[in-house]
Amino acid sequence: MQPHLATAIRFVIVLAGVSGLMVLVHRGLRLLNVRREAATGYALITPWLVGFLVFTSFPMIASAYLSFTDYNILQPPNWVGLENFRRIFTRDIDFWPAIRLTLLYAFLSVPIGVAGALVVAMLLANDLRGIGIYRTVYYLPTVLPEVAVALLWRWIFNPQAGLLNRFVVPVFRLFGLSRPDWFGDPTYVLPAFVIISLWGITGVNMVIFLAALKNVPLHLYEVAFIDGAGGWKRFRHITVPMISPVIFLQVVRGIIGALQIFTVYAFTNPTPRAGKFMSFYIYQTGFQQFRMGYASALAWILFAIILVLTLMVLRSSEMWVYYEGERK
Amino acid sequence: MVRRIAPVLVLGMLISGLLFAGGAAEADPDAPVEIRLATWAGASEANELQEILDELNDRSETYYITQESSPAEYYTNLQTQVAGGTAADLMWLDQDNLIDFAARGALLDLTEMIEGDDHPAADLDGYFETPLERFTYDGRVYGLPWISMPVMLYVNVDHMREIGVDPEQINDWTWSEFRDAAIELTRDRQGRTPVDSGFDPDDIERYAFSMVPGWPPIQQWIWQAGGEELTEDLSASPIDSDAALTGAEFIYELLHEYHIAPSQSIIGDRGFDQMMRDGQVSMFMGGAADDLERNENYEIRAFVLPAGPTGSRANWAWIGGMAIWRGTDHPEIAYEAFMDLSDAIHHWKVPSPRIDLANAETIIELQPHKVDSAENIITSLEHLRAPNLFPGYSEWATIFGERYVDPIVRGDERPADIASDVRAMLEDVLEDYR
Amino acid sequence: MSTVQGAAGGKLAWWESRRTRDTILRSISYVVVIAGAVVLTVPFLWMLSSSLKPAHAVFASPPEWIPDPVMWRNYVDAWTAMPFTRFLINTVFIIALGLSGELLSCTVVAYGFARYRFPGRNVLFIILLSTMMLPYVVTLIPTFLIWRTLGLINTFDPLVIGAIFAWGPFHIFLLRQFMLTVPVEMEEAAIVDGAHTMQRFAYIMIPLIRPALLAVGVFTFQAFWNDFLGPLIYLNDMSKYTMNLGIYFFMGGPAEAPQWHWLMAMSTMLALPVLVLFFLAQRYFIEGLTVTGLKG
Repeated sequence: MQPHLATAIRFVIVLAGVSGLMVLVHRGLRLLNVRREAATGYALITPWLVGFLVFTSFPMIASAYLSFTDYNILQPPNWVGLENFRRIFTRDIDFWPAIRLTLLYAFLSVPIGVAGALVVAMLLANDLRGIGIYRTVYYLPTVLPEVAVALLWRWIFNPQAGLLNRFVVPVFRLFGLSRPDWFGDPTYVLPAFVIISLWGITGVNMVIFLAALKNVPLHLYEVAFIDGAGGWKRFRHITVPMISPVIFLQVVRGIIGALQIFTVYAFTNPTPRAGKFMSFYIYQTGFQQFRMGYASALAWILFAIILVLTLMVLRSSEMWVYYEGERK
Repeated sequence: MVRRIAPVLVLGMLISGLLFAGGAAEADPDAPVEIRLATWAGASEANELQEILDELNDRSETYYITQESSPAEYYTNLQTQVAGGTAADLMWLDQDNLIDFAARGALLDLTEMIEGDDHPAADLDGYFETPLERFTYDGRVYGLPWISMPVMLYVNVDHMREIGVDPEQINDWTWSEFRDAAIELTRDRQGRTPVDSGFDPDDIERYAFSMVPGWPPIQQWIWQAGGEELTEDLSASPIDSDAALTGAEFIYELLHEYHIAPSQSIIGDRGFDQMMRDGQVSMFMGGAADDLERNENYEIRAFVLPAGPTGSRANWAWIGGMAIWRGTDHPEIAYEAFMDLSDAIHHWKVPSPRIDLANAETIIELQPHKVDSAENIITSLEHLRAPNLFPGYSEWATIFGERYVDPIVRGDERPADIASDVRAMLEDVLEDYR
Repeated sequence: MSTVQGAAGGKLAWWESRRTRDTILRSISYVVVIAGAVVLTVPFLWMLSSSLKPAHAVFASPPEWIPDPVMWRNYVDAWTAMPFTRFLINTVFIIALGLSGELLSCTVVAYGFARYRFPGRNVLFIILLSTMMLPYVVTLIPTFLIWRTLGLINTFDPLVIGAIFAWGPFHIFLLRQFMLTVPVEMEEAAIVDGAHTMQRFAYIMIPLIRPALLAVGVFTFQAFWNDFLGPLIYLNDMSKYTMNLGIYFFMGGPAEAPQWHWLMAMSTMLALPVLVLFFLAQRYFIEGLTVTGLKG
């Protein structure tokens, strides 16, 4: 048990150190005549700030630096300037298909995911009999280990024996279409992944909405009820505004998750003719082809895309997100 | 007062806490040195390997080998460890990765050490040429192979008898006999073959063959037809030459005109070799170590691959081996452990890359179920061929696989239509690494 | 505008009455919820049934739902094929430290962002959010280098110490969002009573956001429980491996076929604790909300 003990001791020391640092920050700022409220605020976010400076900013800066180099992981990087980016935008045969597939997937799956999770949460917010069991069942998908889930998808999407095609093939026959080979035919790869993304409306997303729904003060509904507002109106004018911070959270999380989809793709092995998802492409260039510099450049482009989309959502959020407890 | 000192004290403890992590206890100079071994071994392979290691560790006074196995994401793990300077002393590598690791200076050059060594595994003349060559780079030896596996044609002999083919003739097959048998073996639910009228490719009960993008490698047919996918001087990828196209077109015809193999999704779901075991597929090309012969319902045997138009039976070699990390703290001791372990693995895995161990008797002794296949495995070793490798090979192979093989095998593209475009892409990569 | 005028109007048809509509809605809810539950259970049942089959029967077509014979020994075999007891101890250890560090630090940081005004707060918060976005592939090696410099490779530290520094931006975000929905008047009342920052935090905010804390707790537990890449990169000795790393031993390799039945058995074992935890916790973090002061 020696390694456990050593880690436990270091854990406690670091914990104490961080707490001490918080006190120190507060006192130091007060000595510098910083307002009490600001000093407290800075002290409270100190743990994150230190972690960010040490464990996040360094890797981010390092990867930004690497994006301007030729780095094969096993030898020190070589500075190549903008060469990686030039190549990505002019010569890379995989880049644009990857961007296209990834963005399309995000635009399709995020709205479906957020709306779906909200609907499921509203259903499960009812006091049905045995609701705890249902909620647990709806949480099932997120607790299965990823390997098992990936295997499951292969089984469900199997063109011959798969569960999905038992329902889909008769419908397709009506329209004169042949049996879809979900991962083998480039036409069906994107739809297949959007279907897979439905899986994400249960689990964590549903739980967050569920908690948010329960957080809406009941008296607001009671007032609306007395005023004679119908179900849709109550939903539109009470539920949505009250949980809008959480909807915002889910949209942002959805975008980030959708643009970084990786594991299912890697395990289901769809045909590359449909394009590859960006994060898989980055992994492939970085770790399978030893081109970490190039992969870093790709990653920063993906990062920029996510950032721009998030900022757009953030900007728009000022119009529709309502914070009851916010102090401007 | 105390309140003022406390934070400083805590910070001091924090720093010292992080420091003491680095200083481990000094080791006894006479005790055996720990040599770490990185492997991709799964559960049962790791357990078998552990028995070998226990035996070696008991015998040695200078080292003891500890196993660090990561069956998934093995190479990601390995690269991170090498980049961070904490890699294992010994590591298992396959042919593709050996060249990458060697070219990037991650491996210890063993050339001199091996020259003055009389260890049985250090006799380089005792190895087959192809596997040894794949573990050398720029004329220097960077590792030793411990397995050199030819691709065999596994055949359900019962199915063959059923269509009137004498199993004894399979070793003499050419492509056309292979095709005729494949057509005869493939049956839809009404018992029709692909050349019968009314054959329904969506309702096939038994397939003759099994093929997915990447396996068996399409390169085999290109080679057997006398073509090249990558020339030895690494200057060109003439996949649009007549010979190379003959090989690729042969596969295209079998898959898309005769429907002799199920789609990748079906194979992926059923398990790659499971359909063969269950009698739903009659022929399968697999590594010589696959244990398809172990089957209660069917007699399955491994044969030499059918010969192409040039008479070549070239088959794809999968070569696994071991190398020493250049950053090891104890090069001499690591080398000693490396040699002992290589020798031990040569007596464990079949077929061995060593000529004296690669014989039918050894194979049968180690793998009794291979009794009818052993001779053919030895014959196949003569036709072993490995791709020409270079440090950008994985990038090259990605394009070859995604732009050429996948469209042909999983899609519906004629090789002749796409070969010259793909050639240009492949040669772009060659250009970059020149 | 509104089509429904409420139950007071006597001229409504029977299907317009609120009670009937509620009953119909309720029935529809039941049907939909049950249908969804059935769909979601199928994969789990398949996993469960596969875990009790002999190796070769896992992919039988058409699928057999009831294993015959029932191979209970798959669980024992899988557990003993690798030192899983050891793996379990390691996993529990990592979770115990990581979970406590994460909950403590994230709540404190979220409180700072939610309730205190200070220069640069919004910029810092956007930076915090953006740290969720950089693909791990490219930060993997730099991060590894930090831990190597600290001499902590092949220890549990890289997996747990970071938790003290609130490394889950999403968790901070989630907690902050919940704190923002708490009316600020409650704390202002406490300020009038002369409560200190930490007192307000501990006695007013924490009880109010308990459901969010529980949710973050469950998510963190699950993240540690399912973490694969972290243990893979940082732990070398097999004696330090975690449960989730352990099941990858059944995935096979170049010379070994995957052991699906064992994989499924261990996957079931991995899924069960999280399910039980969720079942127990969900009452508190979803139902528990009604007893807090939020009702107004």
